[in-house]
Amino acid sequence: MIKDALRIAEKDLKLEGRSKEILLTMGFFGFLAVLTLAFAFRRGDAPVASVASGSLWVAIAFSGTLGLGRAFERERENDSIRALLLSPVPRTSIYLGKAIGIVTFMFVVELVVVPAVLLFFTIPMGVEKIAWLTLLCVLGTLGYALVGTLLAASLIRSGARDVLLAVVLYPIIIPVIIAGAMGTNAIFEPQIAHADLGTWLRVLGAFDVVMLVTSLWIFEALILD
Amino acid sequence: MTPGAFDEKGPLGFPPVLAVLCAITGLMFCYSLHLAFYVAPVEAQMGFVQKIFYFHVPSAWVLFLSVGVAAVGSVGFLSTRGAKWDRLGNAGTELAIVFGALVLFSGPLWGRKAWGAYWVWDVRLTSSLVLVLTMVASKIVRGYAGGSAKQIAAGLAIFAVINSVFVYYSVDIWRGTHPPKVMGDLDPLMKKALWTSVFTFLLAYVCLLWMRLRLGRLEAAVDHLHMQATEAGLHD
Amino acid sequence: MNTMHHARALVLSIFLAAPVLAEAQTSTTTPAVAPSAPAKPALPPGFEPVPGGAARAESVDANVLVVAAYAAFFLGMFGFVIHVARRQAALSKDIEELSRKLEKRS
Repeated sequence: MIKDALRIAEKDLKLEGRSKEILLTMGFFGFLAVLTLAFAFRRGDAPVASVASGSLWVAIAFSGTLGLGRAFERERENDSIRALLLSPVPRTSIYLGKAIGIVTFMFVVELVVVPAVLLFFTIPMGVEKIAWLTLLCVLGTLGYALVGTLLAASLIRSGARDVLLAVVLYPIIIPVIIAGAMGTNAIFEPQIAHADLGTWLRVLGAFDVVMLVTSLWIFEALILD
Repeated sequence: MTPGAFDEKGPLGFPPVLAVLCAITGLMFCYSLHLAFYVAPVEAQMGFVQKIFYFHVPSAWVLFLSVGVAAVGSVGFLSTRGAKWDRLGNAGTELAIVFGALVLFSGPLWGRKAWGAYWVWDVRLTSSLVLVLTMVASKIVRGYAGGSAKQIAAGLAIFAVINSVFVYYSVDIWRGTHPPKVMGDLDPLMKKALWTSVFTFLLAYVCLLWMRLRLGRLEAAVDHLHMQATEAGLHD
Repeated sequence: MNTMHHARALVLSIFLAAPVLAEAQTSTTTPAVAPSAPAKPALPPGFEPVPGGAARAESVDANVLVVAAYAAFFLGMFGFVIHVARRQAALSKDIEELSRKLEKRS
């Protein structure tokens, strides 16, 4: 199952590697989102540093939605989803493969978004902080992508799918936003608040595991037709 | 739809048993109000505004019950694709939204006096808000998502249940110090008023759910007839 | 023919733009007689507690809140019942009509 999933992910990534459309648009939008937030939350002549962690996760969430929409739009345009469903590949592998692809896109975008936040909100960093921030982003992005892939795939044949994706996704990923932002807060403190950070990392980990299991089961049931 | 005591049309088009149940519920509401306002003592700290508690708390429990009903319907539908499961899920979702709205309206009104502000990110109100939002999203999807709408709505209802645990836990940690929980030690008369209200709300929920399920069956019957009519060439 | 169109369009746009440009000219050349600017309001305090919070809590009457809450409960539940009853009546009518049509057909 994992091998099939990886092959599907590989196909998506190769396709994207050629056109780079999703990465460029997602990345650029993520950067713009951070900039907009930095302009919107000002006190005096500089952005308020305390909203940096929230801004990071808002930018990730928004660019993630964009990427999800575009990735599945591409599937729909080529009608490749039907080909995939007709093939002997188990449904769960299709789900995992697409999710791996989405996660990879989001990681690449975060390589742009995180430095942008650090730059515009003037957050001092160190090696240890960057390591923890990476772990936090990995866990948070996984949670977001697992739920997002399922919902975006299920909406693939719907008319109002662009706006519907946001409508259905955001309530479900609220724990990711809370845990991500609070964890990032703990990292951005002058001294990392390890106890808090640990709690939020555990929350994200639990969320990822539960959502993975739930999504694997629901995907089968949802994409039956 | 074979008519019987449970289906025959009675007052307002509802079957006799349902009508009687509604009447009993109405009487229970009067009794609950009496208990809440004339029997239960006024709470020492919060004063008169605490009376909202007697309807707010049962409403919240009915909200969670309804979400459970929606989840059961959703799991049933995703497993069997049976229409009646979907109808259960739909009815549960709608009633969750109705009672959720009531909880989210009465809570802040109470909070205005108890905590000084309408919204203080209380753990339970916040997680109820996210829960209701997910139910609303599920309802929106049913209306606009086209072919696979029912399945997506069902999936969402299941996510809502799981998600509410995470949201509750996250907000709880995040809040640290939050307004103290109110159900600590209740005066016996207050307890009586509260449990009577709970029973009343449960009765009301049964009535409303029954009504909504009947409506769902009617909707299915109309759809079926429309299909037959189209096949017979009656619609152009 | 086309050049005539373009020429006319050009003349029309100059005609319309001229007063706007003239306005801009005069406003920049007239000495700025700005009315005394209102005192700049202090930046909002963000999430700082409202001063006199306790006093504020007393300014809303508890009775109003209780009545509003209970009214909402009854309106909400009755509203749902009425909504269901109305929808039910409409659907029953639909069923009768469709059954009649199908009977006639067969």
